[in-house]
Amino acid sequence: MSQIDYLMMPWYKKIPYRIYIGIKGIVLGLIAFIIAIPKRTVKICKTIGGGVLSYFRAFRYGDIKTKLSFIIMGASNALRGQIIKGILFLIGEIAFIIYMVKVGVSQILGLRHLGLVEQGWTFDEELGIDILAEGDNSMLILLYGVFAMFIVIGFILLYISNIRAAVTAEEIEASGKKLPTFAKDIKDYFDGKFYKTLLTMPIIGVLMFTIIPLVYMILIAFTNYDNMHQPPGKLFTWIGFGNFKTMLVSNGLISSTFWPILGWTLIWAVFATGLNYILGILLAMMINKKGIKYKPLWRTIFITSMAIPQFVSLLVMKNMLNAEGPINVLLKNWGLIERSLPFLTDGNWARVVVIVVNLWIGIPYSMLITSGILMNIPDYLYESAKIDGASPVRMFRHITLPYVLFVTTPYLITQFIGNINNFNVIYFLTGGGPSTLEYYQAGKTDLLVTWLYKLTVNSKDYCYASTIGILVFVLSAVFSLIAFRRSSAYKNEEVFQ
Amino acid sequence: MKKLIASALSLTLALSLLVGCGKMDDNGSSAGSSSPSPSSKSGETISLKVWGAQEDQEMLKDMVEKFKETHKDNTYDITFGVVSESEAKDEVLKDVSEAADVFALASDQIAELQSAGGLYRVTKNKEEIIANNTEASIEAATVDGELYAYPSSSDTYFMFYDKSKLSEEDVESLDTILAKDLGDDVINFGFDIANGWYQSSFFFATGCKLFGDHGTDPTHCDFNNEKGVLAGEYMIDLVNNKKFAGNYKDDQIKSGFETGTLAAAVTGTWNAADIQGYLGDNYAATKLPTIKLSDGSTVQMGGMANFKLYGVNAQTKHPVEAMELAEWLTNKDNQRVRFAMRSFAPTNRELANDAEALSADIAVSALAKQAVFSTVQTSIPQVGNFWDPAEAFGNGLLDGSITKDNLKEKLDTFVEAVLATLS
Amino acid sequence: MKSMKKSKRFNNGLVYTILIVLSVIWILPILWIIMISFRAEQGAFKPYFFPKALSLDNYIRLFSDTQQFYFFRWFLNTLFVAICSCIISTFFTLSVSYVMSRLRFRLRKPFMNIALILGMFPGFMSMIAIYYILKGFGISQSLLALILVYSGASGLGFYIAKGFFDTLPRALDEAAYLDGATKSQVFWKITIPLSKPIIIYTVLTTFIAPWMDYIFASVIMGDNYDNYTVALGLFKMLEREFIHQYFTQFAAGAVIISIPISILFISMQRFYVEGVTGGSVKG
Repeated sequence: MSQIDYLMMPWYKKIPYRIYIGIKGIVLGLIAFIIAIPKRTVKICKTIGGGVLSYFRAFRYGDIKTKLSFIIMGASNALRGQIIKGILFLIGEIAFIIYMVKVGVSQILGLRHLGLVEQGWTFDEELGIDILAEGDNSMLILLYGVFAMFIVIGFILLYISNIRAAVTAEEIEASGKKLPTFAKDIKDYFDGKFYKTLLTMPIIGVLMFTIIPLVYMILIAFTNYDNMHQPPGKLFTWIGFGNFKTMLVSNGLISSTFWPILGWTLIWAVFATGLNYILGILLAMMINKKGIKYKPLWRTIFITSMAIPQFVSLLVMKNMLNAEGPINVLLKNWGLIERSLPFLTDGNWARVVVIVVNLWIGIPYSMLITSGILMNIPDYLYESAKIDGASPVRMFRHITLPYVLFVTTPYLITQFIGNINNFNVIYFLTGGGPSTLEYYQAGKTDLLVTWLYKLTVNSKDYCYASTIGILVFVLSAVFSLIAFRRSSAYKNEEVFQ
Repeated sequence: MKKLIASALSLTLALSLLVGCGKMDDNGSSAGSSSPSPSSKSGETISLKVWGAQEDQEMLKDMVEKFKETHKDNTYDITFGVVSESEAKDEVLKDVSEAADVFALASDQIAELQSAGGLYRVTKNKEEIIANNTEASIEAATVDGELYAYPSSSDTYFMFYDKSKLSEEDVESLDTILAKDLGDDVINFGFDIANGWYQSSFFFATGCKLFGDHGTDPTHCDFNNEKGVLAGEYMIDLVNNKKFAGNYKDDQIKSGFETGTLAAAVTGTWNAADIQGYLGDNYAATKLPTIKLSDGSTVQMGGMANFKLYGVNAQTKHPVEAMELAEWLTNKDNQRVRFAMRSFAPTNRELANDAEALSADIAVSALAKQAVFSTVQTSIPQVGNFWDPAEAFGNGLLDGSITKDNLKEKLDTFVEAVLATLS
Repeated sequence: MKSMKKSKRFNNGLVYTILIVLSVIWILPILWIIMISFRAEQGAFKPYFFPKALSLDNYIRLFSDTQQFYFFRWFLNTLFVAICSCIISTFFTLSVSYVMSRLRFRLRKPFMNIALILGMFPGFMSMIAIYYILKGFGISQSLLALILVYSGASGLGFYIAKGFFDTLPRALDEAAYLDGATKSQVFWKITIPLSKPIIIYTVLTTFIAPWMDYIFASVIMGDNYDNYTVALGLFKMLEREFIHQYFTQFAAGAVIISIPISILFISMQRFYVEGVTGGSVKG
């Protein structure tokens, strides 16, 4: 269909057409992604296979020193004069062996069952009391097992780099050149390999505080670690995909809570992102309008709300909107209402209220970010549009919005994902409430993340919480995938039309 | 490739783990091998940690000092941490091995704490403890027939009122309280109806049972039978009465008494001192009033009784001494101290039955009067399913979405939600 | 012509009216909390809007009263944690973003994708695991633990700073390399001095985090009352048993921590915009 055809369509046909295009884009994006999966897997396998093969070759054709370093790490380097480097490899190997013998092996084996002995009580004649016989702690077994796995992976990387170093050293020796000294190696880490130096600490931090905990939590989703199986008193164990089944397809309370909350999370994310964005642009336009004075003053007023810690402003809002709070008091004093308005106690009111309060928090952000972009829009675009007799609404839709959107699409996508995971606004403002008879451990304004939080903190249903976490991740991942694909696909479309 | 990253990584990991490992196999994978070493050799220094609320810290320190004086055979090194009764479960279960040896807890947490292995079974001087404390408090400290904690004080709600507004006869019945004309800006009765703890007093009044006769049957709740409907109808009339405020939480109650815009309200001893301060000579407290149901009968409002307990950490290094300390903190003398200093109602039989001593404290004697009509708050995990539906039901009453026409239906959903299982 | 001018004036008048109304809406909660912080009467909810009496008591008590809340100590704790963690985070973020923007190596693309993916998991899901990792290091319940939690994973948040580095002209680097400079020298002597806006942006955002976080602080500190942070303390003041007595002090505390952050923020907003939009537009 050409552009003209589209423009000629009456509005009621345009809407279904847009929806059709949108769905088509999503489906195509998904298909493209799925088609790409086997290709990628093959590629990754090839890389790994090639690597392994090259090490075999190194072993077969290497000299005795290189062969030795397959067993005693660093041997090739040390025997060829790179003593410190060789010793460092050796220390790594010894530390790893000591670790594995002492605890590593048992920690990894512990992952099979996550503990078998439950704690119990035995009577102690001498003391005259029951004595606790400690059992296994499934949670710690799992955590240390994950830890041990990472150590093994770390060691494998070290081992590989050992072999590479051994081969390189042999090659350099064979070519008759001098092997680099340790000092020169170090120097290289500030030049050619500077990226490694800069990345080391941040990566260790990310491993410790994000990746390892994350792997642990993901694994929890495949266990029955819920309220009834809390360590150290009780054991939990692997149950496969049981939690996903319970969450998604069973008719139980938890799945009849999941779907409505998922729906509300999406509604919330769309409104919170969209309204903030559009209204932020409008506000920025008003402040930047020609002839409006005291621009910095206006901007500062709105920015002040950004600077106040969110939990403070949200708790203040919560108190202001309370049934006995100042807003209701003022309205009552003025005689406008008899009964308090149920801002946060009625489900539908509360949902609207959180979106509106979120405007208070979010509009200044988008105002700040878009106002610079607005100033960059060339004036002649508006001038010529005016000459053509375009209305302000048309100008906004056809000049301002596309221009701003073009620059801020990534911002918009991160905002949307941020809103799916927007914990603060909901938790501090309503705490997820008001409660409803239909949900398990959740209220009418709970998002998936706040529900997840409640499940871990209030009812200790960790396995369900991490199942939700994984589902939220899938949601965000699918969305951003589509969004990024769509936005590049969109540009291609323009070319064809 | 990746030499520095890989080696630094595995080195730091390995080293840190090697260091940390010693600690890890204590509570980790080594099953059964490391039983605690209960020591009672005299002369050894025993390190114990005690948790209590911030406002109790001074009092606890005094009690512990006296404990040290009377237990000279050991040297004690006792430290304190701030964790209130209501947070005990979360803090203990976060990491049992790091939690205090002796801690205060609210009785509704006991089942979960026990099941998760946080509480030491009380077997030392068990008979004596059972004999010394009231039956209800022992029941609240017992799980599956075994005692797991030491009762320290009882806690339930009752009614505070302003003597200048209501007479002793008035407060006998809720209907008389509401019928009295005290002026337009005065609320006659303040109540937090959206909180299941308070709300249940209406259901208990008509004889409904939450989780069966003993509060331990997770498949039973009869709030939707004809008695429940009677209670519900009464509540609907109540929220439509302009003299009744159904969303009065602690803060509004205090403000109400402070500004003289409230005649009577339901709350507990924790607010007694403040309310006494606001009302002065007009300060009074008594049991909850009776209510007149639509079938013509008059019944007494019930209540949910909670207890403050002291528990011993299941993984304590010194179980015998920790038990001695917990027993000490909850003995008769210290319960008396708590009563005098914080208006906590004792669970010790002798003290609880000493009407004369109790009458010195208006709030505690009112609590004692109400305690007769109260049900011990159940601690089975299923109770976690009760609070949210109760709040939803209360909100439904307040915003008028629950009417006499759809009451039965709403009560059915209420009960269904309370009894629901996860999958 | 005349009518156009008139309509323009009318338009501007309309815009002024809207701006004033909106300003009132935005300022009102802030004024309200300031007003409450000076209110002499205790309690959260009053049946009237304006306080009956004003006093400085709440501020004085906030800092002098140590019976229930050690606000002053907690304030210093938070300040310390905020300063340390913002130094570490800034270093981490700048390192990673510089590497991703300027240096080319084999695993660059996978690294960036992994970072994007990790950012999509709800963070606090893993807080219990983090607690045990910190305990494994023997530093649970300490301020150091809190600093590590706030700054440890900051290497993941490099996207905005990377966008900034992408806009810096590469010609400078090339010239320096020709003069024989190492990559390390280029980073420290050329890139860092040019990156003032993004450094300020990173410092600003990471400095604010400890003042706002309640969840991690509560999990990590547990019973160690001495090491609480301001957010934890303020949140506690609103709990059922304290709200009546401490609500006005909560307001005072909120005002106190908001003032320095607001001043910082307003004076640095230019850099904030440059940071977010990758320096491509000037605010």
